[in-house]
Amino acid sequence: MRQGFLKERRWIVAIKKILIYAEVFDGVLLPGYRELLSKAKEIFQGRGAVFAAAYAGPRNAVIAEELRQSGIHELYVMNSPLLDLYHPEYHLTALEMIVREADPDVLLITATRAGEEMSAALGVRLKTGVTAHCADLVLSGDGELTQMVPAFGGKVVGEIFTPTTRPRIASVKSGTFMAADLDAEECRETEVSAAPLDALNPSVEIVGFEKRATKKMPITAADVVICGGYGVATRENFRILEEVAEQLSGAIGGTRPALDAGWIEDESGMIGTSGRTVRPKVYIGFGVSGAAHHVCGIKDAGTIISVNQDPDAEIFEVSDYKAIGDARAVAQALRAHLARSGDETAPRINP
Amino acid sequence: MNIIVCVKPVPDPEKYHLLKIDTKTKRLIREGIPTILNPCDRTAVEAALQLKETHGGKVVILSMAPLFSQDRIREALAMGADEAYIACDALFAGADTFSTSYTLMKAIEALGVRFDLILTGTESADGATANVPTQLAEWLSYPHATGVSDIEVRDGYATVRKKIEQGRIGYRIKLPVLLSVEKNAYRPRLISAMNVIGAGKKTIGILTAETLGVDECRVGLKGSPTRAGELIQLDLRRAGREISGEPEEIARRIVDIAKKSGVNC
Ligand SMILES: Cc1cc2nc3c(=O)[nH]c(=O)nc-3n(C[C@H](O)[C@H](O)[C@H](O)COP(=O)(O)OP(=O)(O)OC[C@H]3O[C@@H](n4cnc5c(N)ncnc54)[C@H](O)[C@@H]3O)c2cc1C
Repeated sequence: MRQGFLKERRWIVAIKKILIYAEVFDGVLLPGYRELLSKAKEIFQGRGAVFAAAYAGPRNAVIAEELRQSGIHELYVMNSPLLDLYHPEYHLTALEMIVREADPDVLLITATRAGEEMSAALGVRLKTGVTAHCADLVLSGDGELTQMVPAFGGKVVGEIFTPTTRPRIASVKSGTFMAADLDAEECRETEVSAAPLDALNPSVEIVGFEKRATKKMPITAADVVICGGYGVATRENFRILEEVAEQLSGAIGGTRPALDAGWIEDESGMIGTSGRTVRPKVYIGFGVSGAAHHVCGIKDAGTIISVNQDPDAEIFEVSDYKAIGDARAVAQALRAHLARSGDETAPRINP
Repeated sequence: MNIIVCVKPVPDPEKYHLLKIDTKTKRLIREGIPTILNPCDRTAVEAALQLKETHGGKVVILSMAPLFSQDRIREALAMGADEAYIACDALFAGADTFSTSYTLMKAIEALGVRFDLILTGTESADGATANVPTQLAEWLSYPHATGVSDIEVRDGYATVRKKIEQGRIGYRIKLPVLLSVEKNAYRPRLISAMNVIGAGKKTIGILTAETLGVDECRVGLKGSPTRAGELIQLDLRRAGREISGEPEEIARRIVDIAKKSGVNC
């Protein structure tokens, strides 16, 4: 079926240039940029492809230098004070202008809340295909970009191609790929005029911003992730898991029902298709049933340990270790055990 | 104030574990999975109904969907929406988000009403791209904001709060505007038996490719710039070795395993 389809398609030019949107917040380059560049280099390196970055924001010499050193051949920037906090019209127009200037074959965007909007909208502006939330990017035998997307909550993964239009636009959630150490390349810089922004007459006005209180360790960065599911049953029990996470210098996360119950603050602590993908050395889940939406976000974890009272819980099928038991009882025992071993390793004061 | 809410019938996400791929045809077997109204879309319908309660006007439901899913669209009528339309035509089959949003745009134009607000859910449970809201706004040349809560309308402007990873941005946006409503921002009302009976009496308008006057190169599979290849069912199975014993024993083993996996503890 697929072979037939590839034969059928009208050929368009091979992939020669990959442009990656470099999203910056509050003067910090978000990690999705390096993750995407690393992946792009992994699949297109040695094929003569040009790697380029797009920056749309207030003039920032530090970011510009960071991007120049990141391993790209071309840097496109649009500098404007209008491009500070995400604005659905200014940022979109800025990226549109950059893409028209750079004329890439592939445009990769991190699927942040802003990136999701921009990638979708650009598809209509540029009359091309947008593939959202790719779980992987690979090359088909004939050099076409194959975008692997999860559907039905990650239960299945489908191949998506954008065979006849360009650029092929793909968005990828941060944390999907690993950032590699890349050597700097000779980098040519192009400044794209911000005049179209001044001519815009926008319908949207930014009237406020509430920064989220910076919380503990992000689940995407921890070696150990403790995850509480609905089977944890109470906030009080969930607190025990938080303490265990702290004892292990790890992070606490939850499933969708844990978010709905208010045990975790927001999606940044939720693990799965609508939340974050985690790849800790160890994931320990308590009272998690193992829905496809959730499992999709832990499949790359080193070791998966699950505690569930139901011997037939689906999560056990995707776990390295399973403990059939009560979430609260095991969590309490774990807390006590770690507290004790913590004492043993603590330096002793002379009796 | 006129509000249109775009909704989608989807296979029940609580039943995705029943999905299988036919090993021969590589097609998805959806047998035994009922169709429901996309959960996020109920939130958008609720937001629309609350705004109508304050400002008056009407709430119209629109879906590009097969005829058999009419009853799911009727649920939105039972919640209290005034009218509903389905864009339905063999030509619309196989649409990706690009051609779906184009078709919805044509349908909205064909209704001939100026809608002050277009509301959608954040994403559909099946494809979950979250592309359609923004793409629809682009086709209509409307401003947009996705994942919003606290929608207030006053003097021709909507104020909303949009969630981003780092916090919430407040926007004031000139009407008309397209907004996708954040998942937990509104609690969808329950439907009573009386509401169901009332909704059963309403007719659902059917919009075909011909009535919409669509450009045939922009709809359905033909109008879709993306193409689907093979479907793959991931094999994520792991060994599932059992840790048995009293909670204390299980705790001790978990710590051992964590240490062996490279964690300092
Ligand atoms: C579009 C969409 C996106 C979604 N995205 C996500 C996502 O990103 N992340 C996510 O997690 N979910 C997501 N979901 C929800 C997902 O489908 C599941 O509903 C959810 O993951 C189930 O969470 P759970 O395992 O905590 O709860 P449940 O499914 O209710 O499972 C609870 C488990 O706890 C066990 N249990 C009960 N009591 C105890 C006890 N005392 N001790 C031990 N075990 C006990 C039970 O045996 C059961 O297995 C999404 C759903 C949709 C529709």
